[in-house]
Amino acid sequence: MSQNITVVYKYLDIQSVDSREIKRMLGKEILVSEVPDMMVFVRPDGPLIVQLGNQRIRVTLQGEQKSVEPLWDLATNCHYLLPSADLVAYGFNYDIGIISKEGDFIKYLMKAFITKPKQLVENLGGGLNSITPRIRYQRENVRYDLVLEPIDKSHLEAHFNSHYQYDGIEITEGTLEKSYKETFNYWNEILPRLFE
Amino acid sequence: MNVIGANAWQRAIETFYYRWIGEDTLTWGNPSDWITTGLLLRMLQEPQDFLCKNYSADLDRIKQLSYIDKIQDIYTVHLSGEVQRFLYCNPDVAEIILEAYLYLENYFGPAVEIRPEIIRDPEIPGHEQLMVYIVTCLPVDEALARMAQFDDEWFLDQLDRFESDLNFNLEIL
Repeated sequence: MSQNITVVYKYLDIQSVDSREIKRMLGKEILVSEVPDMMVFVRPDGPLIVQLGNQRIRVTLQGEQKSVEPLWDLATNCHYLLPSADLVAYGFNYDIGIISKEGDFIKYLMKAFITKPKQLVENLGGGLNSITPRIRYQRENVRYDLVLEPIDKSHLEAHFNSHYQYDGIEITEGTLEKSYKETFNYWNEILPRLFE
Repeated sequence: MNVIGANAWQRAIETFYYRWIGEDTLTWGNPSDWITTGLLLRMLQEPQDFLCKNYSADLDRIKQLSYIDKIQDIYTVHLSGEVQRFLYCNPDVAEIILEAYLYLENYFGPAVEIRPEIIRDPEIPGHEQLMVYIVTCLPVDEALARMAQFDDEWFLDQLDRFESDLNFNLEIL
Protein backbone atom coordinates (compact mmCIF):
# COMPACT_ATOMS: atom_id res chain seq x y z
CA MET A 1 0.00 0.00 0.00
CA SER A 2 1.17 3.54 -0.70
CA GLN A 3 -0.25 6.63 0.95
CA ASN A 4 0.37 10.34 1.03
CA ILE A 5 -0.84 13.55 2.56
CA THR A 6 -0.95 16.53 0.18
CA VAL A 7 -1.31 20.14 1.29
CA VAL A 8 -2.09 22.77 -1.35
CA TYR A 9 -1.35 26.49 -1.08
CA LYS A 10 -2.33 29.50 -3.14
CA TYR A 11 1.34 30.13 -3.66
CA LEU A 12 4.39 28.30 -2.32
CA ASP A 13 7.70 30.11 -2.24
CA ILE A 14 10.28 27.31 -2.16
CA GLN A 15 13.07 29.78 -1.46
CA SER A 16 11.48 30.68 1.87
CA VAL A 17 11.65 27.07 3.12
CA ASP A 18 14.64 26.20 5.23
CA SER A 19 15.61 22.77 3.90
CA ARG A 20 17.78 22.19 6.97
CA GLU A 21 14.63 22.07 9.08
CA ILE A 22 13.17 19.34 6.92
CA LYS A 23 16.44 17.40 6.98
CA ARG A 24 16.46 17.69 10.75
CA MET A 25 12.89 16.39 10.92
CA LEU A 26 13.67 13.38 8.76
CA GLY A 27 16.91 12.45 10.47
CA LYS A 28 20.09 11.04 9.05
CA GLU A 29 20.72 9.24 5.74
CA ILE A 30 18.32 11.11 3.57
CA LEU A 31 18.75 11.88 -0.10
CA VAL A 32 18.05 15.43 -1.16
CA SER A 33 17.40 16.98 -4.54
CA GLU A 34 16.97 20.74 -4.66
CA VAL A 35 16.22 22.73 -7.78
CA PRO A 36 14.87 26.30 -7.83
CA ASP A 37 11.20 25.31 -7.82
CA MET A 38 11.20 21.84 -6.30
CA MET A 39 12.68 20.13 -3.27
CA VAL A 40 12.63 16.39 -2.76
CA PHE A 41 13.76 14.59 0.38
CA VAL A 42 13.91 10.81 0.36
CA ARG A 43 14.49 8.65 3.39
CA PRO A 44 15.14 5.04 2.26
CA ASP A 45 13.72 3.69 5.52
CA GLY A 46 10.04 3.52 4.53
CA PRO A 47 10.75 4.75 1.98
CA LEU A 48 9.49 8.16 2.92
CA ILE A 49 9.36 11.01 0.40
CA VAL A 50 8.76 14.69 1.14
CA GLN A 51 8.19 16.87 -1.93
CA LEU A 52 7.77 20.63 -2.06
CA GLY A 53 6.78 22.25 -5.32
CA ASN A 54 3.90 23.25 -7.57
CA GLN A 55 2.00 24.87 -4.69
CA ARG A 56 2.15 21.65 -2.71
CA ILE A 57 3.74 19.84 0.14
CA ARG A 58 3.41 16.09 -0.25
CA VAL A 59 4.51 13.51 2.29
CA THR A 60 4.45 10.00 0.86
CA LEU A 61 5.01 6.65 2.49
CA GLN A 62 5.48 3.67 0.21
CA GLY A 63 4.47 0.57 2.11
CA GLU A 64 3.04 0.06 5.57
CA GLN A 65 3.56 2.57 8.31
CA LYS A 66 5.74 0.73 10.80
CA SER A 67 8.95 2.33 11.92
CA VAL A 68 8.39 5.84 10.65
CA GLU A 69 6.63 8.55 12.59
CA PRO A 70 2.99 9.28 11.65
CA LEU A 71 2.59 10.97 8.29
CA TRP A 72 0.20 13.52 9.76
CA ASP A 73 2.87 14.77 12.19
CA LEU A 74 5.42 15.18 9.40
CA ALA A 75 2.94 16.96 7.16
CA THR A 76 1.83 19.26 10.01
CA ASN A 77 5.43 20.14 10.89
CA CYS A 78 6.21 20.89 7.23
CA HIS A 79 3.14 23.12 7.11
CA TYR A 80 4.40 25.01 10.18
CA LEU A 81 7.53 25.94 8.21
CA LEU A 82 5.29 28.13 6.04
CA PRO A 83 3.53 30.42 8.52
CA SER A 84 2.56 32.99 5.92
CA ALA A 85 1.49 30.64 3.11
CA ASP A 86 -2.18 30.78 2.14
CA LEU A 87 -3.64 27.30 2.71
CA VAL A 88 -6.14 26.19 0.08
CA ALA A 89 -6.78 22.48 0.74
CA TYR A 90 -5.39 19.27 2.09
CA GLY A 91 -6.05 15.69 1.07
CA PHE A 92 -5.15 12.05 1.59
CA ASN A 93 -4.33 9.46 -1.03
CA TYR A 94 -4.13 5.69 -0.71
CA ASP A 95 -3.08 3.13 -3.29
CA ILE A 96 -4.09 -0.41 -2.56
CA GLY A 97 -3.41 -3.52 -4.63
CA ILE A 98 -6.03 -6.25 -4.65
CA ILE A 99 -5.60 -9.76 -5.96
CA SER A 100 -8.33 -12.15 -7.00
CA LYS A 101 -7.36 -15.74 -7.67
CA GLU A 102 -10.79 -16.70 -8.96
CA GLY A 103 -12.61 -13.62 -10.21
CA ASP A 104 -11.91 -11.48 -13.24
CA PHE A 105 -11.65 -7.78 -12.42
CA ILE A 106 -11.75 -6.69 -16.04
CA LYS A 107 -15.01 -8.49 -16.72
CA TYR A 108 -16.47 -7.40 -13.39
CA LEU A 109 -15.81 -3.70 -14.04
CA MET A 110 -17.05 -3.84 -17.61
CA LYS A 111 -20.27 -5.46 -16.47
CA ALA A 112 -20.73 -3.00 -13.62
CA PHE A 113 -20.02 0.19 -15.57
CA ILE A 114 -20.83 -0.41 -19.23
CA THR A 115 -24.55 -0.75 -19.70
CA LYS A 116 -24.54 -1.25 -23.49
CA PRO A 117 -21.30 -3.01 -24.40
CA LYS A 118 -22.38 -4.08 -27.88
CA GLN A 119 -23.43 -0.56 -28.76
CA LEU A 120 -20.16 0.81 -27.46
CA VAL A 121 -18.13 -1.68 -29.46
CA GLU A 122 -20.07 -0.76 -32.56
CA ASN A 123 -19.61 2.97 -31.96
CA LEU A 124 -15.88 2.64 -31.26
CA GLY A 125 -15.33 0.23 -34.11
CA GLY A 126 -13.14 -1.98 -31.93
CA GLY A 127 -13.20 -4.50 -29.10
CA LEU A 128 -13.06 -3.45 -25.45
CA ASN A 129 -9.95 -4.44 -23.51
CA SER A 130 -10.59 -2.91 -20.13
CA ILE A 131 -12.19 -0.02 -18.28
CA THR A 132 -10.78 2.14 -15.48
CA PRO A 133 -13.71 3.83 -13.79
CA ARG A 134 -13.11 6.99 -11.82
CA ILE A 135 -15.88 8.09 -9.48
CA ARG A 136 -15.91 11.48 -7.86
CA TYR A 137 -18.49 12.21 -5.16
CA GLN A 138 -19.22 14.52 -2.26
CA ARG A 139 -19.92 13.38 1.26
CA GLU A 140 -20.54 16.11 3.84
CA ASN A 141 -17.74 18.62 3.29
CA VAL A 142 -15.28 16.17 1.76
CA ARG A 143 -14.84 15.42 -1.93
CA TYR A 144 -13.86 11.85 -2.76
CA ASP A 145 -12.19 10.38 -5.81
CA LEU A 146 -12.17 6.65 -6.34
CA VAL A 147 -10.26 5.05 -9.22
CA LEU A 148 -10.44 1.32 -9.92
CA GLU A 149 -7.70 0.30 -12.30
CA PRO A 150 -7.48 -3.33 -13.40
CA ILE A 151 -3.88 -4.30 -14.12
CA ASP A 152 -4.91 -7.69 -15.44
CA LYS A 153 -7.81 -9.96 -14.65
CA SER A 154 -6.42 -10.96 -11.28
CA HIS A 155 -4.83 -7.67 -10.16
CA LEU A 156 -6.62 -4.46 -9.38
CA GLU A 157 -5.29 -1.19 -8.06
CA ALA A 158 -7.68 0.98 -6.12
CA HIS A 159 -6.80 4.60 -5.57
CA PHE A 160 -8.69 6.68 -3.02
CA ASN A 161 -8.44 10.41 -2.57
CA SER A 162 -10.26 12.50 0.00
CA HIS A 163 -10.04 16.24 -0.56
CA TYR A 164 -10.76 18.85 2.14
CA GLN A 165 -11.36 22.37 0.89
CA TYR A 166 -13.66 24.94 2.50
CA ASP A 167 -13.67 28.57 3.60
CA GLY A 168 -11.53 29.17 6.65
CA ILE A 169 -9.60 25.91 6.29
CA GLU A 170 -6.58 25.67 8.57
CA ILE A 171 -4.19 23.08 9.92
CA THR A 172 -3.59 23.10 13.64
CA GLU A 173 -2.43 20.47 16.12
CA GLY A 174 -4.43 17.28 15.53
CA THR A 175 -6.27 18.47 12.39
CA LEU A 176 -4.56 16.13 9.96
CA GLU A 177 -4.53 13.21 12.39
CA LYS A 178 -8.28 13.46 12.94
CA SER A 179 -9.09 13.78 9.24
CA TYR A 180 -6.64 11.01 8.29
CA LYS A 181 -8.18 8.53 10.72
CA GLU A 182 -11.72 9.41 9.70
CA THR A 183 -10.86 8.93 6.03
CA PHE A 184 -8.91 5.71 6.59
CA ASN A 185 -11.73 4.17 8.61
CA TYR A 186 -14.26 5.19 5.99
CA TRP A 187 -12.27 3.61 3.14
CA ASN A 188 -11.74 0.43 5.15
CA GLU A 189 -15.46 0.25 5.65
CA ILE A 190 -16.49 0.69 2.01
CA LEU A 191 -13.70 -1.25 0.28
CA PRO A 192 -15.22 -4.70 0.90
CA ARG A 193 -18.62 -3.40 -0.23
CA LEU A 194 -17.32 -2.25 -3.62
CA PHE A 195 -17.21 -5.79 -4.99
CA GLU A 196 -20.42 -7.13 -3.49
CA MET B 1 6.21 23.90 -22.17
CA ASN B 2 4.66 23.58 -18.74
CA VAL B 3 4.59 19.88 -18.18
CA ILE B 4 5.58 16.48 -19.47
CA GLY B 5 3.12 13.63 -19.30
CA ALA B 6 5.28 10.58 -18.88
CA ASN B 7 4.26 6.96 -19.20
CA ALA B 8 6.70 5.59 -16.68
CA TRP B 9 5.49 2.01 -16.47
CA GLN B 10 3.53 -0.36 -18.64
CA ARG B 11 0.18 0.68 -17.21
CA ALA B 12 -1.53 3.66 -18.81
CA ILE B 13 -1.25 6.62 -16.45
CA GLU B 14 -3.27 9.81 -16.64
CA THR B 15 -1.19 12.79 -17.72
CA PHE B 16 0.19 14.94 -14.99
CA TYR B 17 -1.20 18.20 -16.25
CA TYR B 18 -4.34 18.17 -14.16
CA ARG B 19 -2.43 17.36 -11.02
CA TRP B 20 0.46 19.79 -11.45
CA ILE B 21 -1.72 22.86 -11.66
CA GLY B 22 -4.88 23.79 -9.84
CA GLU B 23 -5.95 23.00 -6.32
CA ASP B 24 -6.41 19.26 -6.47
CA THR B 25 -4.85 16.89 -3.93
CA LEU B 26 -5.42 13.78 -6.02
CA THR B 27 -2.40 11.66 -6.79
CA TRP B 28 -2.71 8.64 -8.96
CA GLY B 29 0.34 6.68 -9.93
CA ASN B 30 3.84 6.36 -8.57
CA PRO B 31 5.15 9.49 -6.84
CA SER B 32 8.76 8.58 -7.43
CA ASP B 33 8.02 8.60 -11.14
CA TRP B 34 6.76 12.15 -10.71
CA ILE B 35 9.97 13.13 -8.99
CA THR B 36 11.94 11.82 -11.94
CA THR B 37 9.62 13.63 -14.33
CA GLY B 38 9.96 16.88 -12.42
CA LEU B 39 13.73 16.75 -12.54
CA LEU B 40 13.72 15.81 -16.22
CA LEU B 41 11.41 18.72 -16.94
CA ARG B 42 13.78 21.05 -15.19
CA MET B 43 16.72 19.67 -17.15
CA LEU B 44 14.94 20.37 -20.41
CA GLN B 45 13.88 23.86 -19.46
CA GLU B 46 17.19 25.06 -18.06
CA PRO B 47 19.97 22.71 -19.13
CA GLN B 48 22.66 25.19 -18.10
CA ASP B 49 21.79 24.55 -14.42
CA PHE B 50 22.55 20.89 -14.95
CA LEU B 51 25.84 21.39 -16.71
CA CYS B 52 27.29 22.79 -13.49
CA LYS B 53 25.62 20.48 -11.00
CA ASN B 54 25.50 16.77 -10.76
CA TYR B 55 21.93 15.74 -10.10
CA SER B 56 22.35 12.39 -11.79
CA ALA B 57 23.61 10.64 -8.65
CA ASP B 58 20.57 11.70 -6.63
CA LEU B 59 18.32 10.87 -9.57
CA ASP B 60 19.81 7.39 -9.81
CA ARG B 61 19.28 6.79 -6.12
CA ILE B 62 15.68 7.88 -6.32
CA LYS B 63 15.14 5.61 -9.32
CA GLN B 64 16.62 2.71 -7.36
CA LEU B 65 13.96 3.26 -4.72
CA SER B 66 11.28 3.29 -7.39
CA TYR B 67 12.54 -0.11 -8.63
CA ILE B 68 11.87 -1.52 -5.17
CA ASP B 69 8.37 0.00 -5.21
CA LYS B 70 7.67 -1.51 -8.60
CA ILE B 71 8.81 -4.99 -7.58
CA GLN B 72 6.53 -4.86 -4.54
CA ASP B 73 3.74 -3.57 -6.72
CA ILE B 74 3.95 -5.92 -9.71
CA TYR B 75 4.52 -9.08 -7.64
CA THR B 76 2.28 -7.89 -4.79
CA VAL B 77 4.94 -8.84 -2.30
CA HIS B 78 6.35 -7.08 0.72
CA LEU B 79 10.15 -7.10 0.61
CA SER B 80 11.97 -7.41 3.90
CA GLY B 81 14.35 -4.67 4.98
CA GLU B 82 17.44 -6.68 4.11
CA VAL B 83 16.11 -7.61 0.66
CA GLN B 84 15.32 -3.94 0.03
CA ARG B 85 18.83 -3.00 1.13
CA PHE B 86 20.32 -5.60 -1.22
CA LEU B 87 18.24 -4.34 -4.16
CA TYR B 88 19.03 -0.72 -3.32
CA CYS B 89 22.75 -1.53 -3.47
CA ASN B 90 22.34 -3.71 -6.57
CA PRO B 91 19.96 -1.97 -8.98
CA ASP B 92 21.08 -4.29 -11.79
CA VAL B 93 19.49 -7.16 -9.86
CA ALA B 94 16.29 -5.15 -9.30
CA GLU B 95 16.01 -4.58 -13.06
CA ILE B 96 16.36 -8.30 -13.76
CA ILE B 97 13.63 -9.18 -11.25
CA LEU B 98 11.31 -6.61 -12.82
CA GLU B 99 11.92 -7.92 -16.31
CA ALA B 100 11.49 -11.50 -15.13
CA TYR B 101 7.84 -10.90 -14.29
CA LEU B 102 6.55 -11.41 -17.82
CA TYR B 103 8.53 -14.63 -18.23
CA LEU B 104 7.56 -16.00 -14.84
CA GLU B 105 3.93 -15.23 -15.56
CA ASN B 106 4.26 -17.02 -18.88
CA TYR B 107 5.69 -20.17 -17.31
CA PHE B 108 3.98 -20.21 -13.91
CA GLY B 109 0.67 -18.52 -14.55
CA PRO B 110 -0.88 -15.13 -13.77
CA ALA B 111 -0.37 -13.52 -10.36
CA VAL B 112 2.86 -15.47 -9.95
CA GLU B 113 4.12 -15.32 -6.38
CA ILE B 114 7.73 -14.88 -5.37
CA ARG B 115 9.50 -14.97 -2.05
CA PRO B 116 12.90 -13.25 -2.17
CA GLU B 117 15.37 -14.12 0.56
CA ILE B 118 18.96 -13.24 1.37
CA ILE B 119 21.15 -16.33 1.62
CA ARG B 120 24.53 -16.16 3.34
CA ASP B 121 27.38 -18.64 3.09
CA PRO B 122 28.93 -19.00 6.58
CA GLU B 123 32.22 -20.02 5.00
CA ILE B 124 32.52 -16.83 2.99
CA PRO B 125 32.27 -13.81 5.33
CA GLY B 126 30.28 -10.94 3.88
CA HIS B 127 28.95 -12.97 0.97
CA GLU B 128 25.25 -12.56 0.19
CA GLN B 129 23.05 -14.02 -2.50
CA LEU B 130 19.49 -13.03 -3.32
CA MET B 131 17.44 -16.16 -3.86
CA VAL B 132 14.05 -15.55 -5.43
CA TYR B 133 11.77 -18.47 -4.66
CA ILE B 134 8.94 -18.95 -7.14
CA VAL B 135 5.98 -20.14 -5.12
CA THR B 136 3.91 -22.71 -7.00
CA CYS B 137 1.40 -25.48 -6.48
CA LEU B 138 2.40 -27.33 -9.65
CA PRO B 139 3.44 -30.96 -9.44
CA VAL B 140 7.18 -31.30 -8.87
CA ASP B 141 8.07 -32.62 -12.32
CA GLU B 142 5.99 -29.96 -14.04
CA ALA B 143 7.45 -27.17 -11.91
CA LEU B 144 11.01 -28.33 -12.57
CA ALA B 145 10.35 -28.52 -16.30
CA ARG B 146 9.02 -24.96 -16.33
CA MET B 147 11.95 -23.77 -14.25
CA ALA B 148 14.31 -25.29 -16.78
CA GLN B 149 12.42 -23.52 -19.57
CA PHE B 150 12.68 -20.20 -17.72
CA ASP B 151 16.42 -20.71 -17.30
CA ASP B 152 17.11 -21.88 -20.84
CA GLU B 153 14.88 -19.44 -22.64
CA TRP B 154 15.65 -16.28 -20.65
CA PHE B 155 17.46 -16.19 -17.31
CA LEU B 156 20.75 -17.78 -18.34
CA ASP B 157 21.09 -15.15 -21.10
CA GLN B 158 20.94 -12.42 -18.46
CA LEU B 159 23.89 -13.60 -16.35
CA ASP B 160 26.27 -11.09 -17.91
CA ARG B 161 24.02 -8.19 -16.91
CA PHE B 162 24.53 -8.32 -13.16
CA GLU B 163 27.59 -8.63 -10.98
CA SER B 164 26.12 -9.75 -7.70
CA ASP B 165 24.58 -13.03 -6.84
CA LEU B 166 21.03 -13.66 -7.89
CA ASN B 167 19.25 -16.90 -8.49
CA PHE B 168 15.75 -18.24 -8.91
CA ASN B 169 14.48 -21.41 -7.31
CA LEU B 170 11.23 -23.16 -6.61
CA GLU B 171 9.10 -23.30 -3.50
CA ILE B 172 6.52 -25.99 -4.08
CA LEU B 173 3.49 -25.87 -1.82
